Amino acid sequence: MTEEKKQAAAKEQSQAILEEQRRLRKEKFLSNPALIIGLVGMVIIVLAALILPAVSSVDPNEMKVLDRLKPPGAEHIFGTDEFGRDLFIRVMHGARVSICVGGAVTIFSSILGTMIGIYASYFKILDNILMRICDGLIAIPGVLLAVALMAALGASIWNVILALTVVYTPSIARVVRAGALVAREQVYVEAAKIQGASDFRILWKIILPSVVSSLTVQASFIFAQAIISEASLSFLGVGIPAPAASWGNILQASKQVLSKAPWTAIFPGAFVIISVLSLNLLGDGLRDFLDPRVKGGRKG
Amino acid sequence: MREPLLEVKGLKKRYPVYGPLGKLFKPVNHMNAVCDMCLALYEGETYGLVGESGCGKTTTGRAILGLIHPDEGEILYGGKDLAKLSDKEMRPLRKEIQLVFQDPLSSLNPRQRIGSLLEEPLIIQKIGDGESRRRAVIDILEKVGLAEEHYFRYPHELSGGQVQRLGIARALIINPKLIICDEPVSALDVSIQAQILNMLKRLQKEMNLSLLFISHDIGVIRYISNRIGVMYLGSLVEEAETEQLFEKPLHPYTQALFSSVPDLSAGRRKPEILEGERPMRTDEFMGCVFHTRCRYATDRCRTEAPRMREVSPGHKVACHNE
Amino acid sequence: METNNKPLLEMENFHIYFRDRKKRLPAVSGVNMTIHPGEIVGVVGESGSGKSVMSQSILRLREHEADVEYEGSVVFEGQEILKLPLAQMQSIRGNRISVIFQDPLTSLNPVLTVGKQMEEVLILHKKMSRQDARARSTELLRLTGVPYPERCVRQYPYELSGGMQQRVMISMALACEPSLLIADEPTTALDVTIQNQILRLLSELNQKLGMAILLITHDLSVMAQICHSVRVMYLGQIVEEAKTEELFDNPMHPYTQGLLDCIPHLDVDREKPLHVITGTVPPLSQIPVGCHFCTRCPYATEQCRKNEPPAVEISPGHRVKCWNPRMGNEKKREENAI
Repeated sequence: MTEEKKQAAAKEQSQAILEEQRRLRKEKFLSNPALIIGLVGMVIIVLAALILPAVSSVDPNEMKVLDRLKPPGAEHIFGTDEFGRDLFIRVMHGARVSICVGGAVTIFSSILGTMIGIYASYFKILDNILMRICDGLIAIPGVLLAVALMAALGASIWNVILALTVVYTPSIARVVRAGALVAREQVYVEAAKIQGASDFRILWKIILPSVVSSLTVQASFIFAQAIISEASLSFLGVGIPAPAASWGNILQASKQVLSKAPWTAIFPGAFVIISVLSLNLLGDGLRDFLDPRVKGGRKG
Repeated sequence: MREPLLEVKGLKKRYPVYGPLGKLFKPVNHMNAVCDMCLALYEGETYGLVGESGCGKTTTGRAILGLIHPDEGEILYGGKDLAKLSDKEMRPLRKEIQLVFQDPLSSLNPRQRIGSLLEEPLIIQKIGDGESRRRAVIDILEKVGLAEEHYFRYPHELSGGQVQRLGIARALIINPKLIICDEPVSALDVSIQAQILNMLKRLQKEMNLSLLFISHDIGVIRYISNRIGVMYLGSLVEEAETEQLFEKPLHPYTQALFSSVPDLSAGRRKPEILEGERPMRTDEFMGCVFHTRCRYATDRCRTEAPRMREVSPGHKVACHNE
Repeated sequence: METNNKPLLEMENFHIYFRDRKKRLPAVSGVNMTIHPGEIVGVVGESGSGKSVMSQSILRLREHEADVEYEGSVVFEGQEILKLPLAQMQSIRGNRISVIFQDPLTSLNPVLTVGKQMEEVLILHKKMSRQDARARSTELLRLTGVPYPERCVRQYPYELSGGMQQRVMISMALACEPSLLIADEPTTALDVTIQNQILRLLSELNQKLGMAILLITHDLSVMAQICHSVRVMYLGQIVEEAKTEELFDNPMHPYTQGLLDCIPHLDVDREKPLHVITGTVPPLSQIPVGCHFCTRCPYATEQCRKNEPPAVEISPGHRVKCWNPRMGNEKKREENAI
């Protein structure tokens, strides 16, 4: 009876501790405006990109000669472009493309970069080989490299993803390697070694979790950069082939009519800026949120 | 004669010293962090290794744990030479030799809860199943004066003394035979220090542990150890049972070290002051390690290194003049 | 030491609060302290006792942190420090009051030679010419027992040993002949043998230059060596103050007694467990009402838990902040008799 009581009391106490930790996490989240704003901005853009094109009956590629270059108004809230296509729906379709490309590039380069970075940090020979390759890739300006790759591969959405993954993997690898090198020197890694943990366990169970926060932060910046790069590639005409809508495509098309119809550049441009800003805020916010030693409400 | 549990013979570890341009050129010299270090540790005893910072006591401890590879010498444990084992061959022996860190908080992964931190060594060494591990964790928490309620806490939520208790718990959970304590109380407040020392002493008796206790604090070393080795500049200069050593310290360095401790309790003898600073032990260093600061030093001390010799049973000293 | 003249530093009912969002945490609550010219005063306490915060506040070093609030008064050489404009404060810092910290390497500029750094201080505060400053810094280094001062001025801080770095720090602190030197754990990072050398140096400088020293430490044995009088701090309050001899011979506060007892002295019985002060220092947000030490005191009574004890003067200069100051002492004597 008493034994049961004791166990129940212990259970209650651990419940209370978990409850308290949950509360602290919530407080930490709520006292982090960058994270909240970034997250809200991204959620809105993603939801809009997913839902609006699906429920709307307007075809983004439908041309109406009579409606050419209509300014924003009740019928077309963002106006129309020089072929009379509804800009709002095109920007939303473009958001879809941008987020897919950005997301895919982020995921692929994170996976690849993490593997490279972690192994490079732990094994000296690999470090020299992998990091020199990465250095070489970083030395070439990102967009230039992507343009060259696109020229070689041909324009398609998958090739854009492939080219940008090649461009961004080295920077992820660098960040992960730097984080892993710091983590490797931590006393708790030595402690794991003293307990007899294998290299594999140390790499993936101890070092990886301690680089996750810097990886997440870097990944959110890569996401933002990938969106810009995709837009740049499309703007330069080597990205997503027309007539499919992407923010870069729309901007490129607006080039000729910029003085007559500035809205054709303003709206897609604003979306690029808002999504990049949201992602950067998200990254900054995550950095504070993911560090277990930073308490809620206070920085540093 | 009893068989020692651990025997260190002729241990040597040197580090390169580079010139002003760093590693661009060959090292200009070598610094001997540990040189001709010998010690034997018997089952169930506490061996105190005392010395000032940079005397090589921590290096010795780390060499025993296989964290650094010595340049020369043997570390015999259970019929094996630990100095020659690879990391992989060392792994199964890890459950017998554990370390208690000086700064416990940095030795604990901040991302793990206390329960999983303590379970980790058991998982690595493949001991027990989920349920029995959980029980073992709760057992050890109680043993070191923590409670089950700490199971879901993170280490940074504990106070300094509690974190060191946790560090000790993690070292003890796999029932090791030998524990190396590297300055385990020097980062703690005095009132907490006493709690931890009492606990270590109690656990050592209960679990029949052998301790290698490394510290610079003479009072702490005296309280906890059965036998004491005094280190200076990478070598042992004197070794004896605790009572013997404090009754009749023979080496001039030991004497200077003991008299430099201010005495608060009886009459408050003013501490004596040892002049000069510790030199660097390069390859050219000759003679007795202490001759640069020893007031009895003769020409022989400056040229010839004294060997450890036994002056009375169990009491060894490395000095030409007694 | 004659201390009848005007006090150098006078702290009265000094409070320091940290602001943690909504709460106000008292790091130092109601400290009264007087330092006379030429006196070495020691403040001892565990981590979290507020001793470092208090000493830094004398120089208002925490000013830039907006979350600190001061109350009470700190008078230095007749000036109210807490109300001085910052510009005037800067002329006191390093000039009339100097500080040395625990870790000399972090307080020295790593990219300048020792000589350059010392000259800067002299030129800035003493308006010396470069040449005079150079001569003076060599002289100061010699004063602090640096063996080859001419070589030392050309060296970089990292080339020196810990003991030498601390000597350099001290000579820099002496550069402007301050009337008060605040030494915050000056020997904690050093070896025992070097620690004793530095302490002797501080005590010699005190005699030679007549400079007052406020020594902050957690180590009672350091106090015993050079201080004229000692204050014991616990959770932001001075719980006991007395002349050094008196404090060690006749500790009255249960906390002081506990601190003295739990050190493993060289004559302690190794077979018995060490004396402990149970529990830990409570966090600032959970300071108990009544006596701050009541949660860990073995003799705490109902009264201790309800009302804060006043500081009672037991014998001249010996003040104890405790409701039953003698009790612990008598108990100890009884133990000794048995």
